[in-house]
This record gives sequence, structure tokens and C-alpha cells, in this order.
Amino acid sequence: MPSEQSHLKRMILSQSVEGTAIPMVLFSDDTLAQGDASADQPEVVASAAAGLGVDPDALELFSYDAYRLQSALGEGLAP
Amino acid sequence: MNKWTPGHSAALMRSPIVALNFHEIAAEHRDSVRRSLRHVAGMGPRFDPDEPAPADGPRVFVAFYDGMRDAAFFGAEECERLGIKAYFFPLFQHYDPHLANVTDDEWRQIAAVHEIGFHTATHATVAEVTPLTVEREVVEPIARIEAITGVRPRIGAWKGGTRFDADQLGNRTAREHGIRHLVSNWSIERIP
Repeated sequence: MPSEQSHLKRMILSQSVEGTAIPMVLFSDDTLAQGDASADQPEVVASAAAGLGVDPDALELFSYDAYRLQSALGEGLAP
Repeated sequence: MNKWTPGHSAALMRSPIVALNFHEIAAEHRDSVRRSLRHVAGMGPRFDPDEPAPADGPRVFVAFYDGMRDAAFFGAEECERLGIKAYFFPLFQHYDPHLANVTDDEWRQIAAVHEIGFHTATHATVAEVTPLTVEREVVEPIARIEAITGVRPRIGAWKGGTRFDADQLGNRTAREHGIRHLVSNWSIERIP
């Protein structure tokens, strides 16, 4: 049973390398106001990753790939 | 720096946009793409930026970027088969013309089922739009989409998925030419 981190890592890398897509979870205009719209995106990703013990730098992701980390985290929110 | 807040989580939990973003789709990945599309197709209604969010539950946004020919046709057909009205963001002066030789007539056929959005001419970032390039990268692609589809595009996306920033010439010009919603790696938001 892979750890959550290794599962997440595989998902991120598979998207980056293979050109397929995983679901991203985005804010809509309606929901944006409920969060802090001015939140810095990389910091959001970094803090979310830290909560899972994932180091985006160790994955050698480009900055925009790091956004996919947030998306991967959000995948679990979908039914 | 700002941190992720409970408000962010609550917003995403209540009514997220579940987005699938595609660029090039290699033949060996088509089965995987079909699985992803089927997965999201049943999650909720299509995201329409002019429709209010439902009380709860996700909406689905499927997009194909850069106008890669194989991906565009494959995506258009598969999404139509699944009842998904997808978004396509073509480039008109693609960095690889062998990948992206979709004609305007073919875009017109795709637009009969799906929606076409603005994504610049040559895959410029918003920071690369200058007074010298703004006609080519912003004004002309928007006009071309309108000529193809008969309607001015309402939605756009920048290379890199950056959010709206009115300090950027590209954003201001896109807004002046009718773009009302911007897709980013963070949100799909109405342009203020």
C-alpha cells in the first residue's frame, strides 16, 4: 500500500511526464470570496504540502507544477 | 505571507470546480484520458461562468489548451460522446505547427458543440504582452475567435495560469475586448 506521499508524488509526476490530466479543484467566483482571495498561491501550495509531509522542492517541480499539488490534494474532496 | 485558511477549505468543500486540463494527448494516453473524462462527467453539471454556483456539489470544467490537432479532435469527440461541453483554448501561431494545424473551418465545427476561449496567438504569458505585441497576442486572436464562432469569446486563459491583474496590459486589453472570465491555476473568476 503506497503512502499518501508516494501516491501524490506519482500522480503529480505522471501528469507532468505523461501529459495526461488529474482533476484540479479550482475556486469559482462565488466561492473565491469565502477564502482569502489574496493568498499567495505558492505559499498555499507549500503550506498544504507541508501538512502532508511533502516537499515540493524535493520533487523538483516547476512552480506551476506545484499548483497541481494543491489540485491533487483537492482531488479527495470530489465525491 | 498568507496561509491556507479554513475559509479556503470550506469554499472548496461546498462547491468546487473540478477541472481537467489537457494539452497534447499522446495516442498511448487516450485510454487514460477517457477514464478521466468519464470520471468527471458524472460528478456534476458543466461549469458555466455566467451561472451561479449550486448550493453544494462540484461543477465540471474540461479544457483543451494550445490547439493541438490530435488532442482537439479527440477531445471534442470524446466529450461530445459523454455529453460534456468542453472549452478549447487555441493558439493561432503555434510554436509547433505540426501539432496544431487546426483550420478555422475545423474550429468552427468544434465550436458548434463546445466553447472556444482566448489563449493568445503564440502562447504568450501576460507578462510578455507589450504595446508592440498586444495586437498580435490579444486583439487579433479574440477577433479571430469571434469570426470563427460568431460570438466574442467570454473566457480566456494565460500561459502559466496566472490570475487577473489589471496592472498588466494584456489583462486590460482582453477585458476591453470582451473577455469576462479568466481561468487560472487557482480559480475561474469574473474579471473585475
